[in-house]
Amino acid sequence: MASSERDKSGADALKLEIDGPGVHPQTVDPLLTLDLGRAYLRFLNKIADEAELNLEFKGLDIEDKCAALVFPSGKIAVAERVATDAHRMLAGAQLVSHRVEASANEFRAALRALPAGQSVAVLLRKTRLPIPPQSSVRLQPLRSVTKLRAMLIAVGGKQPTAKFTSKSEGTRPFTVRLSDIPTAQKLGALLFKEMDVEVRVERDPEGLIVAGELLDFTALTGTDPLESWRAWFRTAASEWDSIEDIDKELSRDEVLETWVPDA
Amino acid sequence: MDSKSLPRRALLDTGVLIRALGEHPTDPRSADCRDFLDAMVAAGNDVLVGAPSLAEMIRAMAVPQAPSTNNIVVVPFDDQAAIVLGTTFPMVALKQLALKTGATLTYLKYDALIAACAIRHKADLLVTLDGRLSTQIPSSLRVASPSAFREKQLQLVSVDGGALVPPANGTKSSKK
Repeated sequence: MASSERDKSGADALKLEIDGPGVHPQTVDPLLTLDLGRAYLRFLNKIADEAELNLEFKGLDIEDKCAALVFPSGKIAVAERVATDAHRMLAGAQLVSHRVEASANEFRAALRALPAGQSVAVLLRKTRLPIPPQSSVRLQPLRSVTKLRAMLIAVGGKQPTAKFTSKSEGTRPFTVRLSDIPTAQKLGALLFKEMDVEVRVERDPEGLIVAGELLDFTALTGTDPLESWRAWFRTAASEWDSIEDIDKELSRDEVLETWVPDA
Repeated sequence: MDSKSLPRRALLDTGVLIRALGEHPTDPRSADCRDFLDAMVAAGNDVLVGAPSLAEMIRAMAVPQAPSTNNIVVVPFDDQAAIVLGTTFPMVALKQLALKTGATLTYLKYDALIAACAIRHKADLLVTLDGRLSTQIPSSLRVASPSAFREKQLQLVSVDGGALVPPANGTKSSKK
């Protein structure tokens, strides 16, 4: 599509620039470049949907500036706001909501697929936002222990495993190893029920659980939640009932910030 | 409480929990906190209790294990919550907020720990009586006070026969 004069000036277009030695429109890998552009636009659209913004792009150009994909927009201010949010998410300065996470991961994967030595930046009207290398931004501990409220959806196998879903982990189920068959048998009685599990998990670079081991589990009591919790509060925290100003007590306004240990 | 507007999954701040679980008849906001918790459980929705809130609540030397019941879930401050805390509530931002609001840094750190638990465990809503952190919280997590879920009181007016009915209905019924 031929670009208009307005688009050529870049005034009303958002650009995704691939930079690196010898990078030009004539030398880039077309599949990787189009994948990158497609994933970026999907990422921006998802952010815009979340923020209930109307993002409009129309047309496509490629500029010989290393190689820059040019996306003209009739609403450049909206496009810039969304692109800035996207950049903050990729830089780890803004949380990626779980509804945007899949498209963010797709774009990260497209970035990682580029040949070594190539980098990507987003060009707004007067601003250049270099996208940080994704491998070094999200530092995930390989293994950690956590406790989750989870529902058991499958259990079995000669080397027994259990498959759970947990609202704390989004919609994707995860599977963990079990120590022995008796544990699998005990769990079998709780199939499709919620329980509290303690698990040692391994996560991929995007934070999704990819493996793990069940360390302990507790079936829910079946008692009335409000009665149980109010009884717990009476035992563990009833001192609060005699405190007149709860907010003042919580804010510790009267307490010195410096703690001096006993001699 | 308006059961239709209740969140599916909400994390309750410590101040809300203390009022909702304890006995504070003279505290003006206790009724809202208690009613909100009761309504959430009655609706079968998830109430999350951040582990840092347990630490703030506990005032005894011998404490039983927190109950594992339906609907009310203790959520830990784990490695994933730590990543949320470090990226969403960096210390520089908390220090600026302390200067701006006059709150102590210790207090804000607890608030940030609790908000990080809410984000990490995918709560739809953080229920709090204190909005000091709200400027720092990403838009994916809503923040509200328990009173926001009170059913709106209809203004009653006197119509024919002395019966009290809402104004809109009153207009209609008087024409019949």
